[in-house]
Amino acid sequence: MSALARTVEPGCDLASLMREHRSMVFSIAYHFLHDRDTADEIAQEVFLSLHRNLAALESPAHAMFWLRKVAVQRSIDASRRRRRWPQVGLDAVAEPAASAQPGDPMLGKTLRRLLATLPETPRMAMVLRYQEDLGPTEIAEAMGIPVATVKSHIQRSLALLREKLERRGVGRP
Amino acid sequence: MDWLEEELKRALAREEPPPGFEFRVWRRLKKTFPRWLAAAAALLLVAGGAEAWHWHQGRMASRQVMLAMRLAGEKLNLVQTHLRRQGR
Repeated sequence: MSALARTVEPGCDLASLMREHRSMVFSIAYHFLHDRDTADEIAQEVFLSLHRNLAALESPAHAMFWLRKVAVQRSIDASRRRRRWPQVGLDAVAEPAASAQPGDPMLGKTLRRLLATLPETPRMAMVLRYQEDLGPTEIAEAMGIPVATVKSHIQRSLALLREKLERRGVGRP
Repeated sequence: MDWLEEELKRALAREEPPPGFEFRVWRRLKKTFPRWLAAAAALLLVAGGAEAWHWHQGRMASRQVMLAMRLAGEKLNLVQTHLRRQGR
Protein backbone atom coordinates (compact mmCIF):
# COMPACT_ATOMS: atom_id res chain seq x y z
CA MET A 1 0.00 0.00 0.00
CA SER A 2 1.33 3.46 -0.79
CA ALA A 3 2.36 6.06 1.73
CA LEU A 4 -0.59 8.21 0.72
CA ALA A 5 -3.17 5.53 1.44
CA ARG A 6 -1.34 4.03 4.45
CA THR A 7 -1.12 7.19 6.51
CA VAL A 8 -3.57 9.89 5.63
CA GLU A 9 -1.42 12.86 6.48
CA PRO A 10 -2.93 16.32 6.62
CA GLY A 11 -3.24 17.51 3.03
CA CYS A 12 -3.19 14.03 1.50
CA ASP A 13 -6.88 13.11 1.59
CA LEU A 14 -9.28 13.71 -1.28
CA ALA A 15 -10.86 16.78 0.32
CA SER A 16 -7.49 18.47 0.83
CA LEU A 17 -6.20 17.56 -2.61
CA MET A 18 -9.42 18.89 -4.12
CA ARG A 19 -9.16 22.14 -2.17
CA GLU A 20 -5.55 22.60 -3.17
CA HIS A 21 -5.67 21.61 -6.82
CA ARG A 22 -9.23 22.28 -8.01
CA SER A 23 -8.26 25.62 -9.60
CA MET A 24 -5.32 24.01 -11.44
CA VAL A 25 -7.45 21.15 -12.79
CA PHE A 26 -10.41 23.36 -13.69
CA SER A 27 -8.25 26.05 -15.32
CA ILE A 28 -6.32 23.58 -17.49
CA ALA A 29 -9.64 22.35 -18.89
CA TYR A 30 -11.17 25.84 -19.07
CA HIS A 31 -8.28 27.57 -20.81
CA PHE A 32 -7.89 24.66 -23.21
CA LEU A 33 -11.58 24.19 -24.02
CA HIS A 34 -12.86 27.76 -23.53
CA ASP A 35 -16.07 26.37 -21.99
CA ARG A 36 -16.82 26.67 -18.26
CA ASP A 37 -19.49 23.94 -18.09
CA THR A 38 -17.36 21.34 -19.85
CA ALA A 39 -14.33 22.34 -17.78
CA ASP A 40 -16.38 21.91 -14.58
CA GLU A 41 -17.52 18.46 -15.75
CA ILE A 42 -13.98 17.40 -16.63
CA ALA A 43 -12.58 18.66 -13.32
CA GLN A 44 -15.21 16.62 -11.44
CA GLU A 45 -14.31 13.50 -13.45
CA VAL A 46 -10.62 14.04 -12.74
CA PHE A 47 -11.25 14.10 -8.97
CA LEU A 48 -13.58 11.09 -9.17
CA SER A 49 -10.78 9.28 -10.95
CA LEU A 50 -8.32 10.48 -8.28
CA HIS A 51 -10.57 8.93 -5.63
CA ARG A 52 -10.44 5.56 -7.43
CA ASN A 53 -6.64 5.75 -7.77
CA LEU A 54 -5.74 7.28 -4.42
CA ALA A 55 -4.09 4.07 -3.20
CA ALA A 56 -1.61 4.09 -6.08
CA LEU A 57 -0.31 7.59 -5.38
CA GLU A 58 2.92 7.82 -3.44
CA SER A 59 2.96 11.42 -2.20
CA PRO A 60 1.18 14.77 -2.50
CA ALA A 61 3.66 15.77 -5.21
CA HIS A 62 2.86 12.58 -7.11
CA ALA A 63 -0.85 13.35 -6.70
CA MET A 64 -0.33 16.82 -8.20
CA PHE A 65 1.62 15.40 -11.15
CA TRP A 66 -1.08 12.75 -11.64
CA LEU A 67 -3.90 15.33 -11.50
CA ARG A 68 -2.17 17.55 -14.04
CA LYS A 69 -1.57 14.67 -16.44
CA VAL A 70 -5.13 13.35 -16.17
CA ALA A 71 -6.58 16.86 -16.58
CA VAL A 72 -4.50 17.27 -19.77
CA GLN A 73 -5.63 13.89 -21.17
CA ARG A 74 -9.31 14.39 -20.31
CA SER A 75 -9.32 17.88 -21.81
CA ILE A 76 -7.75 16.69 -25.07
CA ASP A 77 -10.19 13.75 -25.19
CA ALA A 78 -13.15 16.10 -24.67
CA SER A 79 -11.90 18.38 -27.43
CA ARG A 80 -11.56 15.46 -29.84
CA ARG A 81 -15.00 14.11 -28.92
CA ARG A 82 -16.86 17.32 -29.33
CA ARG A 83 -14.95 19.22 -31.98
CA ARG A 84 -16.94 22.29 -31.06
CA TRP A 85 -14.12 24.76 -30.67
CA PRO A 86 -14.06 27.91 -32.71
CA GLN A 87 -13.40 26.75 -36.22
CA VAL A 88 -12.67 30.31 -37.28
CA GLY A 89 -9.24 31.30 -38.44
CA LEU A 90 -7.00 33.69 -36.56
CA ASP A 91 -8.08 36.50 -38.89
CA ALA A 92 -11.69 36.17 -37.80
CA VAL A 93 -10.93 36.94 -34.17
CA ALA A 94 -12.01 40.41 -33.08
CA GLU A 95 -9.19 42.90 -33.18
CA PRO A 96 -8.06 44.26 -29.84
CA ALA A 97 -7.80 47.99 -29.28
CA ALA A 98 -4.62 49.32 -30.87
CA SER A 99 -3.64 51.07 -27.67
CA ALA A 100 -4.10 48.04 -25.41
CA GLN A 101 -2.28 48.43 -22.12
CA PRO A 102 -0.75 45.70 -19.94
CA GLY A 103 -3.50 43.88 -18.10
CA ASP A 104 -6.19 45.23 -20.45
CA PRO A 105 -9.12 42.78 -20.10
CA MET A 106 -9.88 43.12 -23.81
CA LEU A 107 -6.36 42.08 -24.73
CA GLY A 108 -6.59 39.12 -22.36
CA LYS A 109 -9.88 38.07 -23.91
CA THR A 110 -8.44 38.39 -27.42
CA LEU A 111 -5.40 36.32 -26.43
CA ARG A 112 -7.63 33.57 -25.03
CA ARG A 113 -9.69 33.55 -28.23
CA LEU A 114 -6.56 33.45 -30.38
CA LEU A 115 -5.26 30.54 -28.29
CA ALA A 116 -8.56 28.70 -28.76
CA THR A 117 -7.94 28.65 -32.51
CA LEU A 118 -4.60 26.84 -32.18
CA PRO A 119 -4.47 23.08 -32.82
CA GLU A 120 -4.78 20.85 -29.73
CA THR A 121 -1.13 20.04 -29.02
CA PRO A 122 0.32 23.57 -29.24
CA ARG A 123 -2.73 24.95 -27.42
CA MET A 124 -2.22 22.62 -24.47
CA ALA A 125 1.53 23.30 -24.44
CA MET A 126 0.79 27.06 -24.24
CA VAL A 127 -1.76 26.57 -21.43
CA LEU A 128 0.73 24.53 -19.39
CA ARG A 129 3.55 26.98 -20.12
CA TYR A 130 1.71 30.18 -19.18
CA GLN A 131 -0.98 29.00 -16.76
CA GLU A 132 1.14 26.54 -14.80
CA ASP A 133 4.51 28.19 -15.51
CA LEU A 134 5.98 24.80 -16.47
CA GLY A 135 9.20 24.29 -18.38
CA PRO A 136 9.39 22.28 -21.62
CA THR A 137 10.49 19.10 -19.81
CA GLU A 138 7.55 19.16 -17.40
CA ILE A 139 5.14 19.95 -20.25
CA ALA A 140 6.55 17.06 -22.26
CA GLU A 141 6.03 14.70 -19.29
CA ALA A 142 2.46 15.88 -18.73
CA MET A 143 1.56 15.56 -22.41
CA GLY A 144 3.62 12.51 -23.25
CA ILE A 145 5.41 14.13 -26.20
CA PRO A 146 9.10 14.91 -26.88
CA VAL A 147 10.66 18.01 -25.31
CA ALA A 148 11.78 19.26 -28.73
CA THR A 149 8.19 19.14 -29.95
CA VAL A 150 7.04 21.19 -26.96
CA LYS A 151 9.71 23.83 -27.60
CA SER A 152 8.83 24.00 -31.26
CA HIS A 153 5.08 24.33 -30.57
CA ILE A 154 5.62 27.11 -28.05
CA GLN A 155 7.98 29.07 -30.30
CA ARG A 156 5.72 28.79 -33.31
CA SER A 157 2.59 29.65 -31.34
CA LEU A 158 4.26 32.71 -29.81
CA ALA A 159 5.48 33.85 -33.21
CA LEU A 160 2.01 33.43 -34.66
CA LEU A 161 0.31 35.33 -31.83
CA ARG A 162 2.94 38.08 -31.92
CA GLU A 163 2.57 38.52 -35.65
CA LYS A 164 -1.23 38.75 -35.43
CA LEU A 165 -1.15 41.22 -32.57
CA GLU A 166 1.69 43.40 -33.84
CA ARG A 167 0.10 43.64 -37.25
CA ARG A 168 -2.83 45.25 -35.47
CA GLY A 169 -0.64 47.65 -33.58
CA VAL A 170 -0.79 45.86 -30.25
CA GLY A 171 2.87 44.95 -29.99
CA ARG A 172 5.07 46.88 -27.62
CA PRO A 173 8.78 47.45 -28.16
CA MET B 1 9.94 37.21 -20.52
CA ASP B 2 8.63 39.79 -23.01
CA TRP B 3 5.32 41.70 -23.06
CA LEU B 4 3.43 38.97 -24.93
CA GLU B 5 4.47 36.28 -22.47
CA GLU B 6 3.52 38.57 -19.57
CA GLU B 7 0.11 39.13 -21.17
CA LEU B 8 -0.33 35.38 -21.71
CA LYS B 9 0.45 34.70 -18.05
CA ARG B 10 -2.15 37.28 -17.05
CA ALA B 11 -4.74 35.96 -19.54
CA LEU B 12 -4.21 32.36 -18.44
CA ALA B 13 -4.16 32.94 -14.68
CA ARG B 14 -5.79 30.10 -12.73
CA GLU B 15 -9.50 30.45 -12.03
CA GLU B 16 -11.70 28.80 -9.44
CA PRO B 17 -14.41 26.41 -10.68
CA PRO B 18 -18.04 27.49 -10.27
CA PRO B 19 -19.29 27.54 -6.63
CA GLY B 20 -20.26 24.18 -5.13
CA PHE B 21 -17.60 22.24 -7.01
CA GLU B 22 -16.62 20.01 -4.08
CA PHE B 23 -20.25 19.32 -3.22
CA ARG B 24 -20.84 18.17 -6.81
CA VAL B 25 -17.86 15.81 -6.65
CA TRP B 26 -18.99 14.29 -3.31
CA ARG B 27 -22.53 13.88 -4.62
CA ARG B 28 -21.24 12.01 -7.67
CA LEU B 29 -19.00 9.87 -5.48
CA LYS B 30 -22.01 8.74 -3.43
CA LYS B 31 -23.90 7.85 -6.58
CA THR B 32 -21.07 5.76 -7.99
CA PHE B 33 -22.19 2.17 -8.35
CA PRO B 34 -19.67 -0.20 -6.68
CA ARG B 35 -17.56 -1.89 -9.35
CA TRP B 36 -17.74 -5.37 -7.83
CA LEU B 37 -21.54 -5.13 -7.76
CA ALA B 38 -21.63 -4.12 -11.41
CA ALA B 39 -19.28 -7.00 -12.30
CA ALA B 40 -21.40 -9.50 -10.31
CA ALA B 41 -24.58 -8.27 -12.00
CA ALA B 42 -22.97 -8.62 -15.44
CA LEU B 43 -21.77 -12.15 -14.58
CA LEU B 44 -25.23 -13.18 -13.40
CA LEU B 45 -26.77 -11.77 -16.54
CA VAL B 46 -24.35 -13.70 -18.76
CA ALA B 47 -24.77 -16.96 -16.78
CA GLY B 48 -28.55 -16.58 -16.73
CA GLY B 49 -28.59 -15.82 -20.44
CA ALA B 50 -26.49 -18.91 -21.22
CA GLU B 51 -28.74 -21.09 -19.06
CA ALA B 52 -31.87 -19.76 -20.75
CA TRP B 53 -30.29 -20.37 -24.15
CA HIS B 54 -29.49 -23.99 -23.26
CA TRP B 55 -33.01 -24.55 -21.91
CA HIS B 56 -34.47 -23.07 -25.11
CA GLN B 57 -32.23 -25.26 -27.29
CA GLY B 58 -33.23 -28.40 -25.31
CA ARG B 59 -36.91 -27.57 -25.64
CA MET B 60 -36.56 -27.02 -29.39
CA ALA B 61 -34.70 -30.35 -29.79
CA SER B 62 -37.37 -32.17 -27.75
CA ARG B 63 -40.13 -30.71 -29.95
CA GLN B 64 -38.29 -31.76 -33.09
CA VAL B 65 -37.87 -35.35 -31.80
CA MET B 66 -41.58 -35.53 -30.92
CA LEU B 67 -42.52 -34.24 -34.37
CA ALA B 68 -40.18 -36.74 -36.05
CA MET B 69 -41.69 -39.60 -34.01
CA ARG B 70 -45.24 -38.48 -34.86
CA LEU B 71 -44.39 -38.31 -38.58
CA ALA B 72 -42.68 -41.71 -38.45
CA GLY B 73 -45.72 -43.19 -36.63
CA GLU B 74 -48.07 -41.84 -39.28
CA LYS B 75 -45.92 -43.33 -42.02
CA LEU B 76 -45.83 -46.69 -40.26
CA ASN B 77 -49.62 -46.62 -39.98
CA LEU B 78 -49.87 -45.93 -43.68
CA VAL B 79 -47.51 -48.81 -44.48
CA GLN B 80 -49.40 -51.15 -42.14
CA THR B 81 -52.73 -50.24 -43.73
CA HIS B 82 -51.29 -50.74 -47.18
CA LEU B 83 -49.86 -54.19 -46.25
CA ARG B 84 -53.21 -55.28 -44.79
CA ARG B 85 -54.96 -54.35 -48.03
CA GLN B 86 -52.37 -56.29 -50.05
CA GLY B 87 -52.80 -59.34 -47.81
CA ARG B 88 -56.52 -59.62 -48.47
